[in-house]
Amino acid sequence: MTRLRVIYNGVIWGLFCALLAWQSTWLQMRIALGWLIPVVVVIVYLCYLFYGRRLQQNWAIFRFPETLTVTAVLSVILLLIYHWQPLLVVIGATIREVFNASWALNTTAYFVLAIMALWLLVLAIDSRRHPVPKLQSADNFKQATLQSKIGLVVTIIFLVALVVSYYFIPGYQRFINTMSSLLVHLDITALRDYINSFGIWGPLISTLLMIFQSLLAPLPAFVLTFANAYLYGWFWGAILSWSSAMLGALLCFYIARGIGRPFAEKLVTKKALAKMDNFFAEYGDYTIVVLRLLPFVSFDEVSYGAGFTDIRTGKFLIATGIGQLPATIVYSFVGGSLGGSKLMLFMALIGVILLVVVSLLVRKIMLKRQAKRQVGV
Amino acid sequence: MMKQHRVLGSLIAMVLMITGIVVLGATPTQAAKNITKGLTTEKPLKYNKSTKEIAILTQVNGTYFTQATRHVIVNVDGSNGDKSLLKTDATPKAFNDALKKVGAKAGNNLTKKSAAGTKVKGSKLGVYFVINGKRVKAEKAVQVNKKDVSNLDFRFGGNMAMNNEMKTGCVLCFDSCPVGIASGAKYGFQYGEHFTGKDNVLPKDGSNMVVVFKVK
Repeated sequence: MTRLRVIYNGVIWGLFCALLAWQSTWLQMRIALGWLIPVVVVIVYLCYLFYGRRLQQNWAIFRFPETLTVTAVLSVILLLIYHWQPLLVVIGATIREVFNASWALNTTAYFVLAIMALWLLVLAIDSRRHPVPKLQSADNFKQATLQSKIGLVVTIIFLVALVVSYYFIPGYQRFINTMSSLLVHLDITALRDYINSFGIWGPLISTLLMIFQSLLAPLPAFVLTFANAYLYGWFWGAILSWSSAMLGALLCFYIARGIGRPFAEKLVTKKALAKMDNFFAEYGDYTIVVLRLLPFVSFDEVSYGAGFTDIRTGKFLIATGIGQLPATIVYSFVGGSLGGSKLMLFMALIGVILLVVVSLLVRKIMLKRQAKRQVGV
Repeated sequence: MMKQHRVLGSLIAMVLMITGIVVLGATPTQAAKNITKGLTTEKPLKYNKSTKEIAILTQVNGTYFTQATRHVIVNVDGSNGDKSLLKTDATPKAFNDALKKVGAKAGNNLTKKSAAGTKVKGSKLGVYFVINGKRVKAEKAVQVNKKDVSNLDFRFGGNMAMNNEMKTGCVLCFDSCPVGIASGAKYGFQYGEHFTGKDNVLPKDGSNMVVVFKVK
């Protein structure tokens, strides 16, 4: 049954990728997009063989609740992109193209949807009868991730590939150079035009930019938040900036996890890591929320740092999400008002000042608390 | 007596003429009274030298009522067979030969290395979709970015060598193309203009539809 669930996840992700690829005329004119489905199924199944078995790790998609959530979220995204009838058309076209058949588009789509619904129902019944337990102990989690040699090797290969590609792939090199230059020079207008030049792919490029700036800690993220708000309005800009920053933070977190504690101890000494542990222990789960609120603390260093501790990914994500929300909203307001009225700009500036004052206040309180505890000891 | 002979002679001449018309009329390629009739998947193409018209049988692909494409008509066995608004069993070669036979001149001015924006040359072609027995101009049945288009300026591009090499099956392209046998000169090469079919004009997905090309 686990295999059936894994394959279902592969199919649903494959279908999602194939349907999303219809948005690119260039891509859909070149290949039968339906072939993406078996390719993604194989990739997901290999991931299951690798992570699910060798590391005894509970990958989220291997449990039913997550499978159901993924199905719901992907369906909503597709509906928002296509609406009902065009969605049926692309589903039908994706499938019949693979079989080189002339089946009616709607009938084919309904048939596929019925199979997926039935499949999900079978998985639901199975999950009731044989629930998959979550990993309970943090120690197990630590064992499975922090000390994984495979994780270390994969992460190092990933990082080396990122660096080596820069020297061998001209397009990638150009992309990195352009981005670094735009971010370093805080050129919001040029950045906005650059993202805008990609048309409907703009949000994807903006997400890649945000992830890129997360990996390279010194690059500032707020320029990108400004540009997003400038382009897509403060609300959608804030959503885009917030979600892409979450992805960036998650990537940093996983890189740190992949490198693992033992290796990190060799790099930055045991003492430094112990200090960080104490900090996390002292302020508990709120540490990340507080750190995220402070504009003078590097967003990316927090993500890397958290990856070296034994904080759970879910908690890290929730804390990051809450913590970065105020700054994202304020910066988006500023960005959104760059082309708007003076009143909005004024309000946004007040917002920034308030944010700085509040964060300084929080810092002061934190330092006081720390001092008190030290006196107590 | 002479008069009787004359009458007999003209009767024989009439019989011969009628027989000739019937026999010649029965051949599918010549002097067909209605070029749009009698097309099948086995014989998907007909032409008429006197009216300078070619008719081909196609099948509507409803995918491109909502999705954009640049392929108007493609042969089913070509690599782009599923990427066009209309699929046909007629081959690019048969279409190319038919165009030549009805007196069209190939432009052959485009290659893959041509400058972006170059427009296809060659004899002008009127393209009509036969819907409910009536000829509808191709321009009336398609849209670009949900806006109507006018005068797509279809031309006999030729490109047979490239077509053979690429094996895409392209018969009619929307914009200037170095591969399609015919293509529209309104949009230049590599400008990447795509269109969608109008579902309120065209027959529904999977229906057969005859397309008529008239050399101008």
